[in-house]
Amino acid sequence: MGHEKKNMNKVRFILLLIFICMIFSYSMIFGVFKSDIVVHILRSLLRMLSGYVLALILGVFTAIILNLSKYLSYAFKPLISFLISIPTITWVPLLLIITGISEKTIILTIFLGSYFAILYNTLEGFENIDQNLLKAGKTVGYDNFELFIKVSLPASFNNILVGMKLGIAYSWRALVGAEMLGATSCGLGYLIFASRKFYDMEKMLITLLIIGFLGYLFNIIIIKFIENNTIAKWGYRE
Amino acid sequence: MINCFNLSKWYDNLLVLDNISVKIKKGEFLVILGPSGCGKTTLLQSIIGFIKPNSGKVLINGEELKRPDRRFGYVFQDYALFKWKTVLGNVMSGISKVRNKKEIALKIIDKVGLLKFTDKYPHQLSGGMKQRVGLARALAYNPEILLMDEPFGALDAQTRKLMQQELLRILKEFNKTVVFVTHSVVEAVYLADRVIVLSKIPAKILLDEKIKISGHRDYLNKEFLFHREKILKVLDTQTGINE
Repeated sequence: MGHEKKNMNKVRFILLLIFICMIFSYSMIFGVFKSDIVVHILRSLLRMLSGYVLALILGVFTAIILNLSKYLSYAFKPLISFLISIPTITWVPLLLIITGISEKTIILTIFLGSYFAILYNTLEGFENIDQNLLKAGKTVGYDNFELFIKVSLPASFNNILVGMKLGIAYSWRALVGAEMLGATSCGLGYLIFASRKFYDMEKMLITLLIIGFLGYLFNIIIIKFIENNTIAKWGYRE
Repeated sequence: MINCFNLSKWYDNLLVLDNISVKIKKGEFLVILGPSGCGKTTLLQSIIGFIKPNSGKVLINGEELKRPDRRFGYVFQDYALFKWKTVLGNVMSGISKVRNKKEIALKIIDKVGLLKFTDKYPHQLSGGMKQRVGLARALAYNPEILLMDEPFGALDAQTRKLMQQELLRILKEFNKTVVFVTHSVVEAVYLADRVIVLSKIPAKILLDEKIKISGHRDYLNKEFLFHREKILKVLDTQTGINE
């Protein structure tokens, strides 16, 4: 089984590699992109990073605050759940009016994409902690702060990670959407939208593939990495 | 050492503990026995302060307890191990501020026979091994009182018997006051210095029995059988579903 899985992983990796090579060799040969593609990619990644990290920190922080009282989290959960259901891209026209055509708009969009998902799932995790674990924490002498850091957080990490995963997907979609809707003149979403004017279908298609590929990389590199070093090791999913 | 004083506890309108008083001496191994759902765990959790009784109080060495503290070790039926910590990490969690914590932890892990599994995570262990970790975690910070809530309830019969022997072997080296909850009569007689039998709810003390067995505690020993019969007879009056 282990051996088979290893071979399978090799096949998966090679398939992906061939696909990536195809994209890039194609775009090289036909000169679809000049070197400015790198600028577009980096710009998009930077926006993603700032919006997402902000959402992660504030999302977990808000969950901690709401979790202070069970009535508070009980009262706010339906609202949060409602806000998750709003497709993030629909915020963009509104934000464009409020914050103008600027980086702020895009980063705010990314933030909104993952904030509620992270908040909701973290809250869910806190609520479902096995009470005996908290009791065990008390008997070994943890104070309230230690109980939170050493018991509540790791015990609910499964849920937090679900929030992070959803958040990354939502944010990435939101980012590209915001870039398309004209909040900028740079970035991958803009690139696709700008190519439309010139009927440059090759550029559109390849940018699209790059967007997909980067989204995929987030999942593999960030989420899988965290997962393997935490909940997979701890046996949360058996 | 532990003095429970007219403890009563009710949830909504359901009276669970009905005016229970128990005195537990230092170094005593007390087993609380009773039909399932009779409030054994409630009694145990009132002693450590996880549950506040509605009336009565618990005195530990003459003082009332404010919050659970490190004079108690608690062993859970579902182990309640920290899944994100290794065996070593779990055992060290109660002594994280001690300088030679690793040394102390390894010594205890050795005593419970898990030295080969020090770096394993709980999900990689069997039920019996998990409970050894639970016991080691509770013993590591050297509490005076060990509270055990049906610790072997989830184990298969053979492992359970082995764990009972192991518990007595391990505890021989530490002079602890133990309060042990179970619904197995054989387990109670095998382990206890003293057994109290609770009725079905509202729980009252039906029997408070010192277990005296000369020599080796064997399931077929005459005195063993005598105690077992006596307790079973008392418990027999408590069968049937409580309305």
